[in-house]
This record gives sequence, C-alpha cells and structure tokens, in this order.
Amino acid sequence: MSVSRYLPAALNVAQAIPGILAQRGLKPFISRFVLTETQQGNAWLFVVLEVGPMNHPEDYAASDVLHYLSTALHGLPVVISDSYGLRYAVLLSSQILLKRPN
Amino acid sequence: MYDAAQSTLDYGQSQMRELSHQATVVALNMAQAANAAEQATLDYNQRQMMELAYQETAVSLNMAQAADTQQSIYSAYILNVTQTAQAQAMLDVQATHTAQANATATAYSLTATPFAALQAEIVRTQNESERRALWEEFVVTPLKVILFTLVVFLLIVGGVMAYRRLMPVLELRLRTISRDNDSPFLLVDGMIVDPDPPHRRLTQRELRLLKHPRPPSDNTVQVEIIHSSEPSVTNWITEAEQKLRSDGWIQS
Repeated sequence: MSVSRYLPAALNVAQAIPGILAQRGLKPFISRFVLTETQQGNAWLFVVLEVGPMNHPEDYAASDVLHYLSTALHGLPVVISDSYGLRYAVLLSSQILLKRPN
Repeated sequence: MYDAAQSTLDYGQSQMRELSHQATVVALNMAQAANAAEQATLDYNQRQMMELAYQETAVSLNMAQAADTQQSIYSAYILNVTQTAQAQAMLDVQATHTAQANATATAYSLTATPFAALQAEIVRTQNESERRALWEEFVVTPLKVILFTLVVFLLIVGGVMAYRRLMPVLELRLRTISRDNDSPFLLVDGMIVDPDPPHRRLTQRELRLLKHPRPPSDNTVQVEIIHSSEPSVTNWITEAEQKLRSDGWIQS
C-alpha cells in the first residue's frame, strides 16, 4: 500500500500546526513537511523547523508545547527530535497500541 | 746647382702642402667611412694615409738633401769672398740651417701628425662604435621593448573601454532592428529602457491587487513523501521512536 493514503491526514496536520504554534506564542519557523511510512506500518509526519538560536528553540521543545500540539491534533502522538536540526514528529498511524502519557 | 736645390726646396714645400691637404681630405673620408660603417673604405683610406705619410717622409728627405747641397755651395763660395761677404755668407748659412731645421721640423710634423691623427681617428671610431653598441644594447633595445609593451597595453585598455562604452549602444541598435514595433528604446545610465514593452501593461488596479500580500491558502502547504529507507529519514524515524518510547507513548 502506498504512503499517499496518509497524505490527506498529513495535509490537515500540516495546515493546523502553524496556527497551533501561534496560539502558544511561537512563530511557525517551518521549512518543510515530510511524510514517510516505516516497514512496520507507522506513518510519520515530520515538521522540520528552522529556529535560530535567538528565537529560543527550547520553547519549541518544551513538554507543555508538545502536549498542547498533541491535544490540538486530537491526541496524535507528537515528539520532538533535536539531533541535526529541530523537528516535530507526528505519528499519524501506528500498528502498535499507544497510550497517552500522563 | 744652388738654383736647382732652391727649386727642389720650393717644390718640396708646395708638395708638402699638397700632401697635407690630401691627408686632411683622406681623414675626412675616413671619418665618413667610419660613420657609415664602411670598413672597406676605412681600410683603403688607412692604406692611402700610410702611403701619403711615406711620400711626405721621402719629400722631407729630399728637402734635407737639397739644404745640404746649398750648404756645400755656400761653403765653396765663402772661400772666394771677402771677410764681410764671408760673414754674410755665414749668416746665410745660418739662415739656411734655420730653414732646413724648419723644413725638417715641418716634414717631421707632417710625417708624425697624420699617423697620430690616423691612430686617434681609429681609436675615436672604435670608441664611438663601442659607445653606440652599448647604447643600442642597454638603452635603445629595452626602450623599444618597453614602448611596444606600453602600446599593446594601451590598445587593450582602450579596446576594453571602448567595448564597455559602445556595447550598450550596439545592443540597443541590434534590439531596435529585431523588434516588431517601431517604438524607440531609451538609454538611461547605461541601461536600456523600453518605454513601450511588448507585453500589456498592468493597470493600477491590477498593481494594487499584486501588492496585497496573499494569505496562506490550503494549497501553499506542501508535504513531501520520502521513503523510509532514505538515510536521513531513517535517522529521524529511529530518534522519533526512541522519543516515543521514552515519553511513555508505547505501552509495555
């Protein structure tokens, strides 16, 4: 099956994230959106950020921001990865059972 | 006998003058030959100068011999004259000796001077040739090279400046020829301005519409689809799954 089946959901998330960040007072320094699917069937949408050192990148990685994003995206898991750049990883679909952390 | 000696002296003196004149002429010819670098003429003149010197020496010897002859005549004559006449004759002999000495000196000077002049002329010619060669080697030739280089450099600079100055005009001419409409171009500050572009001009209303920033629409968001085997994406996935696990999303 093609990963393109997740494209509508990815577009919805991509359109929503700038507004969600703006609600938290963060400027949406987004350079690209990348959709991929692993061999295990996990569909990921990576939101690549370009936040300069003067724009407080730690604010984008705060746990409350991640929680806010996840809530605004109807409970989709959102994690931050900061090696070789800053990006959000939104798990659109997973074959494993997930639970929302407390 | 005395008259013959006297005539020999007179003829010798006139011949000496003629030889001196010829030596002068030959020296001038040598100078001209040296200036014109005509070595053959120089050699010929040198030989001629040596011949003239030899002739002058022979004439002076003849003159000296004539003077000796006169002296002998006077000595014989003194025996037959009175004491006064004898004294007068002695004075004449003395005068003859003086003339002889003068003639000898003149002959010597005429003999020695052309040689010295010849040698001096040769040395002067050689020095002048060496000086010209040095001047040619160290001054004229480098100066020619410098001038040639300067001329080439100026030509290149002039060509570049002319190209930069005239190229817009040439381009304007070419564009004017290739254009469909006949409206002229304007050259403003080295740039070609077309007052009547071929495309339709936008109205003020259209310009105002263009100036308004467009809000981001749904179509502006683009999502790239990249296979998970891509190395960078693989790393992202690995890190995201680790974060997902560390954040407690995955049930154990």
